[in-house]
Amino acid sequence: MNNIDKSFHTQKIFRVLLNCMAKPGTIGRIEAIDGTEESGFPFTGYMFSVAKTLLDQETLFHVANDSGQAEAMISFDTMAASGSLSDCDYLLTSGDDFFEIERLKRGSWQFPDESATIICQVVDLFDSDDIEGESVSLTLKGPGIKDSKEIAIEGLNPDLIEGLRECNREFPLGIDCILVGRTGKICCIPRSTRFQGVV
Amino acid sequence: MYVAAKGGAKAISEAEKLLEYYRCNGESIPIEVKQIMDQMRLAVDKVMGEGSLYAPDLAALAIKQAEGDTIEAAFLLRAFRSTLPRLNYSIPADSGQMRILRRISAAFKDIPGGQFLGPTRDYTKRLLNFKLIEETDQHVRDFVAEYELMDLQQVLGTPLLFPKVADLLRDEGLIESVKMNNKKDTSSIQQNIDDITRQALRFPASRAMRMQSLARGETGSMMALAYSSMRGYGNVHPCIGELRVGYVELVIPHPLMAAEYITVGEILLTEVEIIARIKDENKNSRAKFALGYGICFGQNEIKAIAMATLDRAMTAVDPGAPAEDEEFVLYHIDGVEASGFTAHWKLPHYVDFQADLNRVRSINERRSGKNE
Amino acid sequence: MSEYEYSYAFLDEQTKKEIRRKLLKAVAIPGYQVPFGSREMPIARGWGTGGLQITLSVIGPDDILKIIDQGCDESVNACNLRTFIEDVTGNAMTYDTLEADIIQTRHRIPEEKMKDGQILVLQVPYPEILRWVEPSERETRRMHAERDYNKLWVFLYEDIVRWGEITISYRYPVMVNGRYAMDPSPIPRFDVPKLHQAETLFLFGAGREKRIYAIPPYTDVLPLQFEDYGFKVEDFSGKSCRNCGSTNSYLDETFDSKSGKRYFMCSDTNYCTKRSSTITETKILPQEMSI
Repeated sequence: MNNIDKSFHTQKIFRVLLNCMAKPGTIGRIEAIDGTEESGFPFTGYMFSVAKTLLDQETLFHVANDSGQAEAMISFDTMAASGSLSDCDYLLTSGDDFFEIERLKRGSWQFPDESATIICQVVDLFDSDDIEGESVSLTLKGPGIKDSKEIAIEGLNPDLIEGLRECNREFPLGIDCILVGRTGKICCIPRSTRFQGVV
Repeated sequence: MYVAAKGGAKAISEAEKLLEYYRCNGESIPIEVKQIMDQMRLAVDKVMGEGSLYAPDLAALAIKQAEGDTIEAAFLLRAFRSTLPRLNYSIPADSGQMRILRRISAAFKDIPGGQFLGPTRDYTKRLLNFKLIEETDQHVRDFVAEYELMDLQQVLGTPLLFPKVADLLRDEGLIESVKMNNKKDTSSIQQNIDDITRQALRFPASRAMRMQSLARGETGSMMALAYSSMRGYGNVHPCIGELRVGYVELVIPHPLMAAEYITVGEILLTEVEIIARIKDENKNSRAKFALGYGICFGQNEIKAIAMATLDRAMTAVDPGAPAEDEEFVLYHIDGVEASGFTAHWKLPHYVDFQADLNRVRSINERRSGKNE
Repeated sequence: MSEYEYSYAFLDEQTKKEIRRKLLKAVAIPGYQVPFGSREMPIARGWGTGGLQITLSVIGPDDILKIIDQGCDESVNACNLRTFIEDVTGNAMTYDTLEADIIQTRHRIPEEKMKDGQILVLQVPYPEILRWVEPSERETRRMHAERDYNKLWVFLYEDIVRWGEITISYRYPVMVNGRYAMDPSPIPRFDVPKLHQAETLFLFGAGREKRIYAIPPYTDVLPLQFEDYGFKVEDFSGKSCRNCGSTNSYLDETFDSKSGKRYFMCSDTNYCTKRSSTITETKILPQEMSI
């Protein structure tokens, strides 16, 4: 695939991310970039595609609980350097995995943008509380949301949600979250969103 | 639904044609880019420095295109630079190894290696030379031939190495040591050094940000601010420890073979180190001097001296004068930004003005309506 | 050098990526100014390079683009930006506010309410609202961090004491999401209410000052005001557009170049065109070119 096509792919993915971050709770959908369905990569091609859209040599990323392989693959492809949990700008993780969320960068009062973004793979995302299987159901409020919005997330550790709420308690400090479903659905939870949950 | 643009677009294209007409209708033969490179090298050097791109041929082209407006020419270079991919980073260039064209010190009467005036107008008498009006091809060729013959004999006696004057003072322990506040050290070069073409300025600025901003700063604005400091708005008397002009090699790490290097070329630089008195750190420590450092592309001595002066001035702990205020200096010396914004007032502001009119009328209505 | 090719939308991928990352952060922190590595563009600093970089980072081949300056599509600078973007993208252009996917604007928000899915990119000369009261960037960043907006309130108060009202006309200070005081760019007061709880995403780009900020849809954007001195928009009572008769749009006051007479016209030319074409099909628009 030539460079022009790749460039259009990341642009399309970015527009979905922008739309979903601007309207938290909106469920978007992306297409995986050709060549991202790699064997040996512990996440879906959709996750890799989001990484390709956002990472480059000016960012630090971390993969939670990685043997080193995922990081090597991402570094090779995006030229981004891997860093520690507390250093990274982007964290890739699975929703059912455990990591110390409180160690992620939340920015400073003067520069709250210098904070981490979590790119989290989940099983599925739903628009209402039509729950199937093990899900977290959330009611979201805040900028980008008209009144309130309900979503359900399958394959997300409830401790992660609690951890996120805790980290985002002192707005504007906080962490922003991109959820990526196994079939390419996208949903974002920026730090400006307040949420209440049912498990 | 695309509506064919009327009015505005036509005006722009007519204006462009008119510009071209003004440039071309003088009945003189078109200037060659090479002529500008050869015979207006100082304008070329100024534009390279402010355009932040070392490319004499492109700078000369920009000067031709901009009809001699050097700020406009620097803008053309900067815009072009924006489109170029970053290929590599050089290892630190060693100006101590400079192939000297000119090298002087004001601090000492004589220095190891000697003082070399080189190509300078400093001691010329500023009398208009009307003979230049009649200059012909033949004059130029004859002069060059004669000069080259003569110069060869002198070259053989010239020393090759010129140690840094500042090092003489350093060896005596008289120069303060400086703490760097660059980003945390990581393995790759690009993470190590701030880059103002990739990040916005923030304050307090790292040394890298200061130096980069100044090195690409507009000569006139830097001169004005440095001048203010020399005159007393701030207190820097820039005694020139050394001024050198010459060619410095650029070396990059070999892309494939570790611990190997390739020289990619050499660039002309002006470098100035000024020496200034500093306050004692404590009464028992040795009294020392501090250096101010200036460097820019090509031969542009006013700018390098101004840069070194401002480098010194901005270290003031309690900025009292504009030249000492880091934020004031760094925000206002970029020629492309300053000229762009100064010019932007020519854009329509009638909506904004209408809003102002509304306020003024509202105030006056209320005042005339009030009977208090 | 003559072999040189520009990428789609002029900016290289790395530049676009950085701006995209920063846009996501801006949207996550409504009203907060995110610093970015603004590139020099072929358009001069101060002439819209910030808005331009956002548009070029966001745009895709299927997007239809509208560009206005002072509300007018044919304004000289809007034309200049339009031809540049057309050259580097090949995208379709429009004058129709509702047809555009992305609208880049200087100093006005279109009269027709924009919908969900549309993006308005505003060109910003002064991203810092506190610049009205404090020249130092270092200091204003501290003020935002500490939510210390006292100086701004005092400034507004002193205006009332001296003039009987707040005299700020464009760049009217607003409070976003209850947290950040923000400069809405030099739009008139008339347009400020359009930012509040809107359906549209607003992106703000300041190229020279190197800041990006954003207002997501459905966000509280409230003009600063006092209980007894409320926020008021410009008053056009008694005036109407010479062309379409509108009495509820922002009007330009201008002079007929031939007769010298003063008249008023909608600043939003597309709105005016639409209104006048539904009123009379044969109406001819004035031929004077807008500068």
